[in-house]
Amino acid sequence: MGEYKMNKRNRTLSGFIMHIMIFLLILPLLVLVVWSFSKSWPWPNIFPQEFGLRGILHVLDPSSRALKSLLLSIRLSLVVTIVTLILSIPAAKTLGVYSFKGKQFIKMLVLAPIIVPPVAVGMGIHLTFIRLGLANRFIGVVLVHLIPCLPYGIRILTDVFEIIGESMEQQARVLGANSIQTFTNITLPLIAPGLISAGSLVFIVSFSQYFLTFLIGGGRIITFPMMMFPYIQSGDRMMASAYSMVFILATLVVLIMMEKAIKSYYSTKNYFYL
Amino acid sequence: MKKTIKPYIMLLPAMTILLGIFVAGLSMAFLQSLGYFPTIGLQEFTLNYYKEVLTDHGFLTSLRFSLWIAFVSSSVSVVLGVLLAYSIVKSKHKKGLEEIVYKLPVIVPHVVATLLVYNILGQSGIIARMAYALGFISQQSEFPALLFDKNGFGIILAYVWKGTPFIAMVVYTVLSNMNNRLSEVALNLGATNKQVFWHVLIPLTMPSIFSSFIIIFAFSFGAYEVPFLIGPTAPRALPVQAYAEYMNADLRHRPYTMTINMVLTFISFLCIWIYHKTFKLLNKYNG
Amino acid sequence: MPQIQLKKIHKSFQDKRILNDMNLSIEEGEMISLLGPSGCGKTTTLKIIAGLVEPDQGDILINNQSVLNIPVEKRGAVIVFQDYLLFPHLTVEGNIEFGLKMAKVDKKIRKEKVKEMLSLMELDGQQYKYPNELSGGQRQRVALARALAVEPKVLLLDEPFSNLDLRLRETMREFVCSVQRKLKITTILVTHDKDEALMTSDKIAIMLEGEIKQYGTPLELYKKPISEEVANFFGETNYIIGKVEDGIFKSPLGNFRTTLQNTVKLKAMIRPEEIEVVSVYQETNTKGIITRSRYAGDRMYYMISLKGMEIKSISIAKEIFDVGEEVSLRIDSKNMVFYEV
Repeated sequence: MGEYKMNKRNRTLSGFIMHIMIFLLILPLLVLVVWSFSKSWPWPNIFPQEFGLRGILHVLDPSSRALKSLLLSIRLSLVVTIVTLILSIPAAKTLGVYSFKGKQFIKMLVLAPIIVPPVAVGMGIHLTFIRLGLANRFIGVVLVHLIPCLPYGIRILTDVFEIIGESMEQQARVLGANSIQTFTNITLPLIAPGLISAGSLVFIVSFSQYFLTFLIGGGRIITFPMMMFPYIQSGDRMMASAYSMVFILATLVVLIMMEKAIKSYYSTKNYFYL
Repeated sequence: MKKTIKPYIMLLPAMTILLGIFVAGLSMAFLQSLGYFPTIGLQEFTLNYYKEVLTDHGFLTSLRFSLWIAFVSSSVSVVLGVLLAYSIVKSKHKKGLEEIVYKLPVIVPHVVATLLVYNILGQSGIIARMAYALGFISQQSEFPALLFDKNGFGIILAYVWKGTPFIAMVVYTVLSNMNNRLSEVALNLGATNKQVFWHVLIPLTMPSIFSSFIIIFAFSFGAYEVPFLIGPTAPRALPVQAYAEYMNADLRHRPYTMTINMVLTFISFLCIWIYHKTFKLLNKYNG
Repeated sequence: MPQIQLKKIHKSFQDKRILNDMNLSIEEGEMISLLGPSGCGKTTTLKIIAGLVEPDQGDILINNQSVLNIPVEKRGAVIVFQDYLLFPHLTVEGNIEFGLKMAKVDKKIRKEKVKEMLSLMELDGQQYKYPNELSGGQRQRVALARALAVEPKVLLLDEPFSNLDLRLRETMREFVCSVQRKLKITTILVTHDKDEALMTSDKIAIMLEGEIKQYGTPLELYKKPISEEVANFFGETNYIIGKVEDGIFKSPLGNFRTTLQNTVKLKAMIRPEEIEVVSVYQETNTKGIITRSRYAGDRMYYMISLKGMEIKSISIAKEIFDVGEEVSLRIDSKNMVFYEV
């Protein structure tokens, strides 16, 4: 009996801690929302004097540079996501299924770009990109975005391939499917849930990238975070908050659409966690 | 024969990118830090730049500052993240909440996290306004300048805001996949809830806690945006310092920049090495 | 002429020898078992026949033609794996017609085949379900149907019953045997369960450490194992050392008439069930003391101490003897198998 009461009290305490922490994590976002819809909110008011859509409208104005850069950002990150997935699938299958010499080393190398600062990599490769004519261009920014993105793509898909193994593919082969048929009919549908999570994360990583875009894009490729940066720097809370809101919403929309697209194509369910 | 090279062929596309950009970039930076920079006529290898940089007072202050930010923010995130994950597991039935907690901070980039901190803690932020309303301060400037202070308080807070949910997500996943019966066995053997937490749950989640600690440590050590936006002018965080040097018009200054970059890289490699070593050690009993 | 022949197959994985000079031939329509402990190379053998693994040396002939250069998907040797590996994203129907669809068989023919398979496998009405909605036995039958739908030259079953519970296992075993006999399809069954091999197969190949130690009918293997290794693998044994003098095998168990030549030292293997424990009042030439007894319903397991040896016996539980009791042993020398020492 006493034990039971203890547990119950503990549970209430945990619930309390949880709610406090979640509240503290979400509160700043609420303030952000309020800021982005405010028109005038001078010191020292705790609530805005006037609400308005000026910030949001500025960002979404079809003639504004902001909207253009948002679309460019989405296009860029989608390209990065697709290229990352294409490069990651064979690499992840190899790391997840086969054993070969140097596997541990390659696993470390794949993980390294998450840990090594992009500042060092970016400045190191910048000159080469300039020489090769890749700097200040869309393709150059795509290439450099692959560095922080590949580790996530390969890592997530490696886990997926470790779970599904090679046996399903072998079964398809003995039943008479050639390697291409096996890939499209068996492998892709089986890893579709993994493609969704890897794709989402890779998109987020690319979409939030500031420094590498800024360095390699050389001010020519203006992505959304780059548009947003000066407002935060100068402390223009309303505009910065409006940009941030649009950024978060755009991310959500793209992710939902991406998930829908893959799901409708493979009518996927989460097979291997059943 | 055909079978043995197949793995390497499948790795080739990804490896080309990693070697051609990541490894090449670091190698180039390394060569320049050693004074080999043919573009401007520097051809001789020397350790002088390292000697100079490593004894430079400004550099050492920046290094200490960056390590401080990274260490404090990651440690605080780990403690809070574990607490959060554990309390979610304990209180159960909160499916919807969990999802928000995990997903939102992942989607919100560091640049925006900086803005959040700015909105809350700045001298005209929401807390300062409340302090004014309650009569604790009579004007903006009386509110402590938390954002651009030399202890990096604002920077740390931004990283904690991003790091806590990340740790919580990792730990929660491990905790909820863990065999629940292990806790029951421990309770049955007479352990208290607290003992279960310290002697069963924590040891079992330790490898994932540690590896995520390393990841956020390395990230906050090497990231540019947050300290650039809400960090003090002195000391500057190391990545900010590196970029400032990089922008120096005099190309002969480049090797100094690259030396700073190499220090950044070296410390992150150290992280990978520790990660690898400790992981092996911890994995022993987790089989 | 045998339908399938493996000739001098060798295979190593990273310096570890898996198969060593393996030879095997199987007649058309036969069902044979590869029987051995786990890790003896059984599954690798199946994968080599199917073409999923390439042998380092040796040849595989199907209908007298080498199939080494025929790729997996054209070889016509289909494996049903231990864990069935039903494609989770396809329905029962989708799974069964998979092979035919890959071969671009016309849809109408495919549907017909699916129908035929569903009724053969007693799966009628299940075709639109997904694998996770099926029971263990149903999954197994779908896996089998999917393999049979492509009309393979040879069916390879990899521990097909080990994931089923005991009762279902027997039912499925009967079912698979009846389907095999109905279709007369050449089948190789891989198992580590000797009872399963004994009950299902025309012939059994005993595999130990990558080699086939003996290949023959179940009766041959049980009654006349060619080596101690095989004898031990196939069940409980007693070994008695003795010698042959003038047509008599002299041993601690007594003297037995034999046709063997004179030998100084010889080892005889005799199964526990060939040693009958009877009342001490019955006249036999061997007596011993019961040291342990275990009652198993229809049978009795005894351990008998005799001249410093421990002899195992399995007797019909007609008359039950207690520990410490003196008993006579009745042994038929016909059932002894002799090995050189």
